[in-house]
Amino acid sequence: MEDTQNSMPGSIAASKLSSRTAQPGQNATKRLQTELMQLMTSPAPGISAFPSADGNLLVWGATIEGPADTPYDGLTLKLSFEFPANYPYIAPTVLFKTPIYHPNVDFSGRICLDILKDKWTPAYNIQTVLLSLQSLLGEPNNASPLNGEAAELWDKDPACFKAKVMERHKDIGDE
Amino acid sequence: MTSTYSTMSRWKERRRQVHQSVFRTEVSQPTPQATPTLGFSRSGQPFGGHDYTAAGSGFTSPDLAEQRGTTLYSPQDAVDDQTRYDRAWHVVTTHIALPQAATFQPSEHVPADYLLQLKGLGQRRGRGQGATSEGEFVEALRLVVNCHALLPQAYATEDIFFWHVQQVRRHLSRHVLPLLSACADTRLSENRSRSKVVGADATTYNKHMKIVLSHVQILERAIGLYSSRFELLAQGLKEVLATEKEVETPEIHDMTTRFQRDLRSLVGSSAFDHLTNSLGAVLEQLVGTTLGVLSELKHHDGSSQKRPRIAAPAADDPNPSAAKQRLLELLGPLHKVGLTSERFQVLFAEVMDAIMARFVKGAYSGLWVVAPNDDHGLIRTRTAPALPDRRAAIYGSVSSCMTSLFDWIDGHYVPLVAEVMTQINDDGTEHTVPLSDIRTYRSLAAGRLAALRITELYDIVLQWPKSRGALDDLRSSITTPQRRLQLTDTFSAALEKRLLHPGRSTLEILQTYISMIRTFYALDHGKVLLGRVQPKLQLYLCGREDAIRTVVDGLLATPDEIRAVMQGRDRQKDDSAVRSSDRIKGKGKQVGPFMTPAMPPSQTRNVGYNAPDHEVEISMSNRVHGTQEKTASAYNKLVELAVLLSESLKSRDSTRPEEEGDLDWDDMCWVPDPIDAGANYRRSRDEDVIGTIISSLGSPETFIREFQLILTERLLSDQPTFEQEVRVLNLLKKRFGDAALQNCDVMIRDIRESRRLDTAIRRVQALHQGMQQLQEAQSVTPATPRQQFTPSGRTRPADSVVTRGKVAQKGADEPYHARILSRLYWPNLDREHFLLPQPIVALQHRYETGYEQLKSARKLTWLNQLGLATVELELQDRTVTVQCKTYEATVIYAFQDPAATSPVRRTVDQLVDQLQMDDDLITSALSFWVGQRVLARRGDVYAVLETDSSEGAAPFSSPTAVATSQASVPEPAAPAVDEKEAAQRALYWSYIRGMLTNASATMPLGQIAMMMKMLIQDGFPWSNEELQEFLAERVAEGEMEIVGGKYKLVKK
Repeated sequence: MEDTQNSMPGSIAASKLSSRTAQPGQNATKRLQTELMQLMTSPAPGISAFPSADGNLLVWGATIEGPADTPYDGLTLKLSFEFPANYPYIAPTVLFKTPIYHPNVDFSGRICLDILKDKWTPAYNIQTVLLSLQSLLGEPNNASPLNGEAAELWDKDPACFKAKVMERHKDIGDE
Repeated sequence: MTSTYSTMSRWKERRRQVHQSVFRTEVSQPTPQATPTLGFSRSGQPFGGHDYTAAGSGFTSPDLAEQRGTTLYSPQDAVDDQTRYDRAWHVVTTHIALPQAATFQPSEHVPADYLLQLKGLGQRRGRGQGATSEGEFVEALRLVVNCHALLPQAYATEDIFFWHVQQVRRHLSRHVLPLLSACADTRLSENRSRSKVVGADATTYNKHMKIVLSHVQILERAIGLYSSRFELLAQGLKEVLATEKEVETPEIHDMTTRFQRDLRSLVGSSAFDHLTNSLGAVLEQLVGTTLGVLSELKHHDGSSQKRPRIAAPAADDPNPSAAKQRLLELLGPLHKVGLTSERFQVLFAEVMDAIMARFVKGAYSGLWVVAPNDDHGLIRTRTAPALPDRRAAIYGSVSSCMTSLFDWIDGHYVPLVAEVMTQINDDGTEHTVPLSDIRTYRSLAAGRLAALRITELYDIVLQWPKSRGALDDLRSSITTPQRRLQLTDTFSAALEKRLLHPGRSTLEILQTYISMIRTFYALDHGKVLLGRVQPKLQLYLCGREDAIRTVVDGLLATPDEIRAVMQGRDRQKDDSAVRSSDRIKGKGKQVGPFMTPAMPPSQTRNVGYNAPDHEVEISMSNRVHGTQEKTASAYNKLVELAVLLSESLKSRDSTRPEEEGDLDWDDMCWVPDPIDAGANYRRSRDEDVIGTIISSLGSPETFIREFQLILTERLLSDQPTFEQEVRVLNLLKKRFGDAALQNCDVMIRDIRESRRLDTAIRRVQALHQGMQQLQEAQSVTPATPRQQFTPSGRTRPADSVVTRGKVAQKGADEPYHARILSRLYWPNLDREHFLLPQPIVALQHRYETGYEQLKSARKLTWLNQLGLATVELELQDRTVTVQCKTYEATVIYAFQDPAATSPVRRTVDQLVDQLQMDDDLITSALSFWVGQRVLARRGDVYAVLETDSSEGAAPFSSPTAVATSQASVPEPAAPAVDEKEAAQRALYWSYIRGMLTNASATMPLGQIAMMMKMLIQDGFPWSNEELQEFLAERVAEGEMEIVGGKYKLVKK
């Protein structure tokens, strides 16, 4: 009995095998579909993502609920994902659509996060990216800020930071 | 010579005059016309003279006339000659003139009078004869016939024979035909309405027969009259010839035959119109009786329902031979009066054709199995082979019905044709039917039989295998693509109309499908026909959700289930047989549509009894409350599949290996592919009912998934062995490949392995000793339920081993068993959480420890709700032992209270708190115990029924309460389906939520549906309506709202 169990190729290994040989373009779509299914069947609290309304699987929208015990508590932050055709080998482009006051996010919504840049690997997925961003909200990387003022205020004056956050924040309407 | 006519005759007369004014057919004047208008005069002839070369018709020639009249040619002579000729002509024509039935007025005559009228004709003839003396006549005839020699100057001469023919024609149309039509009309007008059902009514036949006979009589007399006049003429001519040698006339004999022939064709063509209906009816009756089609005529008493089956007449039956005699007698006179012309033959052919159709329909419809000792003479020579072997099936053995039909053709049909044709032959020689005609008759008959069978095919399928005989008929006749197409078209239509509608259960459809596969295979080994009729059925089956389950259940049916079902069906059959035999007895004759099957009884009825070698495996289930339901539900199983499966396994050794390639050079039964086979046609070697059905149930994945679920249920039941399951699994492996069914393999191995492990663990842990202690501890409490109890469970460790406890069933010495399942390979078994009784939990812990000793690094996860428990309850007045589900046992255990002095009471809410069990499960468990009369319900409170007296029960539970609570116990399979459905709905809901959160905050229904279809990998099966309903539920729950026709999430 044990033998069969151990020799049976696991589903993960099989999918790896097939992803190496498949065409990149189709592969991205397929991968994104699978990720969507995963997100839907086992959703993580506080984050969600979905392909855009025009049915283009390479463009997604995402939502992060501001984590409790952070200045973003109770805020809803919208993001956009753009996936390259050879995703997951190349990282998606992620932007905050909601104006956000954060040390690692500039005023046009660009994010400084290592796993979206040089640390990206195909093992990451939308869910992990969103979870990383969620934790980035509570623990900004003040060593390499895009918003120096915010990085400074984060440590020196949390109350002022919170006020800035609330001032900057604006619920974006529905397109 | 014009007479008084009735209006009708007057009209006819007017028409005739018009006709004559154009065509100059009026030649009845005693004197030829003074100014004939035929053509121009020739040189040497007087102007305005008759051109006798044109009308001469061989009597004279211009040369002869010139010879005769060379010298003595003068106008004076001519006038004399002409006068003499005219006088002679007058004498002759008066002598042979036909009498005029001047007083005849058809409308005033009843048909009985027409014979008197004919007598009148005869009398007048006598008077006409007396007008001139014999010698005078001969003299005059001499002048008329030989006018060119004797009266060379007569310029207007005529052919006396031609004149006579014209006279006959006129007489016929003016006097005889009105007479005929009158008698036909009056006869028919009496019963025109009834004349439609010719043959069914003896009086109609008699009327028609009278009409025919009167026709014949009238015509006989008329023809006699015409002939007698001709005889006079011929006689006179003979005398003329005797005296005058040099007169050149044609041979009298030739003229006579020619006259006879003309007369016959004249009568045949003119008089036939009035006779067609009646003669057709008479012929149909006589021919029908002769050939056995209308045998019921003699005992015609209005009870037409009890008519026996049509059959070829027996040799000693007086009725057909009498009819035949009558027919042949009738033909003689008919032929004599010229009524057997070509049109008669056409009519006869039509009648014969209709008779053949009726014979085939009457003799063979519904007759699919013919007994060898058939008592009414249908089958004499060959009987259907008991079991058509492959070769016979391919080459098309001539079936019994076909044989008897051919016998009928050869023995009755063809001889009758020959005799009739002999009778109406002109030369009187015997007519032999050519071989090619016989062949045509046969093929016509076979075609009709085939058409009959094609229309019956659906019923034939339903009656399989008793209807095998009918297929033999069909097989030999469906040889052309057209006929095969007709067959499939007809059958498809019947299938759609009679089977593929919601009124039929899936089981019925599948049973019919099985019969269909077998029938069509017997019909056509190439399965081309089946391939053409089954797509619709398959499509329909795909829409039936329970199709796969029915098939798999059927495949897995146990031998005793098979026997139960077969006995049940036999009983039904017996009932219907009794009923039908009653009906047959009422008929007085034992002729039903289905007679004793020609094949050995084992072939037809073996299905339930041919599995004696499996009986060893049968172990009767001890589940008290389950037995009844089991047998009841077994009626609804497709046990045919299980039977087929065991048969195919048995016969596998004897058949050749299947993978042999297409070209088997030693195959002496090889036949080419069917003509209408498609391009992708692949020859199949055997019936392969199971394979065909499985492959028609949609994709293999769906089938395997369903099979796995059912297998799960069975493996987790208390079934002791799984032979049937293994057998089915092996069969499926052959079809789908080992890899696809690996999970099932592992599942079965798990169960086997668990037994071994179970023994080992129990030995190590000495579980039964612990159990005994437990029992001792518990048996102290007599007034409350005492339970001997072990649930099942499973573990979900990092190492993916899952175990499941199994309750002991056989006694106190082996009380606790587990089945250990490998989690990855079993379909998702959901874990219901509830708290087991403490002693059981203790046992589980010990079991776990034992397992971990045997298999290090593995842990058990208990699946508590899947187990079975034997519960022994000691109540005040009785002891109840029940085998039940673990959650049921847990619930009843909660009623145990050693300290209690009065019956223990619990509410559902209390139990939910106490057991942490789902309240649905608790409710169903409580219902179970109420059904067992262990608990009683009053309002929301359940209490233990310590005494089973009716008084004690009355306040708590009325019978209706028990009934309803039992009804509410969910079926074991139902929750699984609901759970799946619920999971799917939850998934869709999260899609919709994600969509409205991230893609667009508001969306119309159509776009949501479109996105769902595009984004869900396994497809989105809902229609827009279903989706709308689903969304409406969400709106009602306040999770969504509709703004401007678009859906929107409600912000919280």
